[in-house]
Amino acid sequence: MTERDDKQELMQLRKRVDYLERINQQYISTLDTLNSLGDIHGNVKQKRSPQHIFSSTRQYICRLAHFDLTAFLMVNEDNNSFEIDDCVPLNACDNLQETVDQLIDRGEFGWALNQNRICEPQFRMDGRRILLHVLASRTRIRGMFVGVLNETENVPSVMTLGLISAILYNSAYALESAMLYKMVLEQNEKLESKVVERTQELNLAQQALKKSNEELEERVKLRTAELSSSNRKLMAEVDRRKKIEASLRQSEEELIVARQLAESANHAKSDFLSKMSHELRTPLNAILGFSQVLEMDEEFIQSPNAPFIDEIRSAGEHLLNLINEVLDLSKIEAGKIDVQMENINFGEVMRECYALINPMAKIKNIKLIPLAESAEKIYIYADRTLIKQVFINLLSNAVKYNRENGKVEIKLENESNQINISVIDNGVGIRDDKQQFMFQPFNRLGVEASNIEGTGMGLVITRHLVELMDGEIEFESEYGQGTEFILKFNPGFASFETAANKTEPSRGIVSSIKGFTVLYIEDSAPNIRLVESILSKWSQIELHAALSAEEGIKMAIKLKPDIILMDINLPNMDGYEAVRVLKADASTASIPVIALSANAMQKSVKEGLDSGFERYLTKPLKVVEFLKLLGTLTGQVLLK
Amino acid sequence: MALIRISNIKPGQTVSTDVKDRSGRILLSANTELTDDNIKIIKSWGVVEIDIKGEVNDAVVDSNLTRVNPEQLQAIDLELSKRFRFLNKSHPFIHELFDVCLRRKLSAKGLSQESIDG
Amino acid sequence: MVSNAVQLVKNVESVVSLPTIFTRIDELINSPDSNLTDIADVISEDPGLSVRLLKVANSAMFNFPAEIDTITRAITVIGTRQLRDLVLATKVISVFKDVDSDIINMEEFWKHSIASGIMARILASLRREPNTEYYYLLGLLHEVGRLVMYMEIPDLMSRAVTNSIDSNVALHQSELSVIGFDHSMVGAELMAAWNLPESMRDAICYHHRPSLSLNYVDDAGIIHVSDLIVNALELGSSGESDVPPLDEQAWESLDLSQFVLPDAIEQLENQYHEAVDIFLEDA
Repeated sequence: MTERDDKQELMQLRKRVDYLERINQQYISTLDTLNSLGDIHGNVKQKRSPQHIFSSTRQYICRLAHFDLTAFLMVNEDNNSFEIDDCVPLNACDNLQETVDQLIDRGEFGWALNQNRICEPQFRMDGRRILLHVLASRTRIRGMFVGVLNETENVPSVMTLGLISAILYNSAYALESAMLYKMVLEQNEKLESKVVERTQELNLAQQALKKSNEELEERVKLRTAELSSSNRKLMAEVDRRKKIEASLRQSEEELIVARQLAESANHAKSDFLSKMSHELRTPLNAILGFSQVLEMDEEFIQSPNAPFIDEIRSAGEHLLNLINEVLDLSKIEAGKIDVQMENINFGEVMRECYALINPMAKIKNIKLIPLAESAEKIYIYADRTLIKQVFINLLSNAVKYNRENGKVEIKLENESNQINISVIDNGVGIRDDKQQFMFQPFNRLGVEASNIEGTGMGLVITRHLVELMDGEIEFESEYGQGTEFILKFNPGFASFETAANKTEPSRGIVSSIKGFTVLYIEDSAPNIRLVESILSKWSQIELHAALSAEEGIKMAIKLKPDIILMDINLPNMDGYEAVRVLKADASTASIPVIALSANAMQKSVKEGLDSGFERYLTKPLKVVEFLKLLGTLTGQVLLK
Repeated sequence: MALIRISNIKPGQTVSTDVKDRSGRILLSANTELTDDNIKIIKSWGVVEIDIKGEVNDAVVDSNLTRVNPEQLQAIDLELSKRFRFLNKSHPFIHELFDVCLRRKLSAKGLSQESIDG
Repeated sequence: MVSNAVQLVKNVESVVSLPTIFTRIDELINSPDSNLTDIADVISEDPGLSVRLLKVANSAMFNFPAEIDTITRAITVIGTRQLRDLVLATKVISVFKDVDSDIINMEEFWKHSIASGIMARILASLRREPNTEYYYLLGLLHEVGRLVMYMEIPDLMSRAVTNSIDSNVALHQSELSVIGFDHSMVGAELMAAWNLPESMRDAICYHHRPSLSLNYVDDAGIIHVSDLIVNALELGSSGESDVPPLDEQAWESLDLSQFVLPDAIEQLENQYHEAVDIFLEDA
């Protein structure tokens, strides 16, 4: 080996060492660079923003090669287009966009995107070389780095390119990291605000719940209190009700008892009245009957004692009136008055009333002024019996409460739809302060102590009767001057019937008649004697008597009389039953049976006619009516 | 349906399948009409060719899986399964691979010995 | 008797040697002084290589939108380091051109290797590996161990084949059990003999069991999966008649979705035919 060879070898070695050292340095600086790439990622202060990443990346890269322009294009994830997010220098941005568009159109951009390394496209920007590098993480392409080399610059060495590539990969990761970090922060913020929101909501909800809980408790307490109070009230109410019930039951029982008592009292009263009526009428029957008989006796009529009969009869009739009044009142009270409205001749009614009042009037020498002739022709629509009672009452009052030698007058006024009748007396009149009590029962306005008779029922009854006949009654009085009673009635009209309804007492008898048999079933001897005396006028009439229903039935079967007279009030079997028996028996069924009874009650009459009586005559007997009936039944006339 | 090179596509044409980049990112959904804008986007992602409706083929694509009768299918499946016998066919990758291989065998475009030789 | 892979490789080293042009380009690339033109010049010295490189640059593998007509442009487009790997890939087939065998069809073998390389490159691209050509190279080289074995120990290989059918096991497993080592080990030893980086050695050595690799699980995994796919698709043949078993852990490690498969396979198909034409032409 020559020295020259050795020297050459040495030089070569030196060259080699230099080369290796340079390489080494490069490697070391490369390693340093690689080590510090963490900077690119940024720290919390720098907030890991893409801007920071771009600028620090740029710093590194520009150390490695001389770039005129560096830009970072990022993928718009909405439309997959590439947008220039960072460009230095900024004023070259438009130029860059043009260049990029060209690269895309040539396909060099898309190609470079898939190369995972630095690529140099053929296209140049104003003659300057372009370097492209994809910005991608392992999972996703994020963008593209574009660098334009200074025209003086050559393509960097492989190592440099490798380093640039490493840096850009690092940056891509940093960008991805930053993006994810941002997303996480945003999500966190959203989450936090959501949590805050939710916590608020929860708090509110909790509060609301607590409040409603409290309210609920309150309400429960209240309710419980209300309930127990209600309960107590209820219990109290129940007790009260029970007590009321008990007392009601008691009252009911008492009422029942009371009613029973009342009913029995009523019954008792009715019975009593019935009995009294009967008891009173029976003797009256004798009085009035016999006086009537006497009145029919021609011989007696001639005698000077004849007027006495009038007196007797009058008195008897008055007594009858009194009895009737009492009976009527109770009838009225019981609502049992039977009103038979008809057209009545006023004159006729007045004559009868006057006749009855005359005896009374004579005692005090009071003048009964007769009706005007015009008045006598007037008809009124009323009940015959009741109107008579009304006027008898008023007239008797006019007489009773009149002075000696006073006068009673009846005046009549005929208005088109109303008849006004006035009963006027010039008696003592009625004091002003007592006038209001006129129609009160039993109130005789102070006259009780006097010797003027009266039950005190008269005006009460009178008014009732007037009203029953659809009329009105008023009075005017002046103390010391007199009294006027004004009656108002509906006008009636004349009819032929009224004439026929007159019951004129007939005093003449027809002596020659066809004979017939009469059976009188009666337990009262005086009554038998009465009928006997009435029928004795005709010798042709045969009278038989039986003292009881049983005897009467036997006699009827045996005798087969033409007519049977029967008293209702008989001992044992009464009249109703007796007549039924007679009617049931074929042998006696056809014999007409006339009821004679003091019992004038509607009910009794109806019962009688229902039982089978032909007619029902009430005691005291009306002789004329009786005789007429006998005549009718035997087909002849007994009286003229 | 035809595969057209990216340089030949025009606005107004309609893509018949989804246009994806190499990593699977969907750039355009099937049946979208091409516009200048979306053509640019496709280009920037380096897509080489796309399926256009109604155009003549640039490249030959044929998949006539429907023409295969069940017997053929079964035979091919059996054969393939034999070759795959060392593998766990339920592994997702293997499953996918098997599927692709099966389709390749069934389609007219096969990378079989014959077509390579020709 | 060859007791291990190392020995085997040593035996063939002279025959199967690394093209020098590769080393020269490698040095140039690593030198900070050199530039594009220098590298281009070196490549231009081998016209066959230049033509082939340009063809590759213009092929579907790169899909460059414009025509590449110069080496410098090709270097720019493809990338410098990528170019180096591509040079080796282009050259490696001619390295073995004298290898012939009754047992194996060379064309089929290289088709399988090319397809594996393309698929590995596609998968690497999906994983955003910057130097995808590296994976092409790996894919291309991963089975060469077998070639060496067919050259040197054909009988043993034959036995291994028979055994694999009889025992119903994958061929590489049969190799191991019958011969004592498999083709991946042999391949790795060859890489070592060629002074290629440890990464390459590892990736090839563990391409059937990537999980066992210490530092290059994912590289090995990419080759592993690519080999498996290409086997399933029956693109060429390396002697393995069936699809080798999957290292599931390795697949998981790659973090790829199985749904990339249809697109990846489509891309493979787009590039395969052309690549075969280019690389096997006048091989």
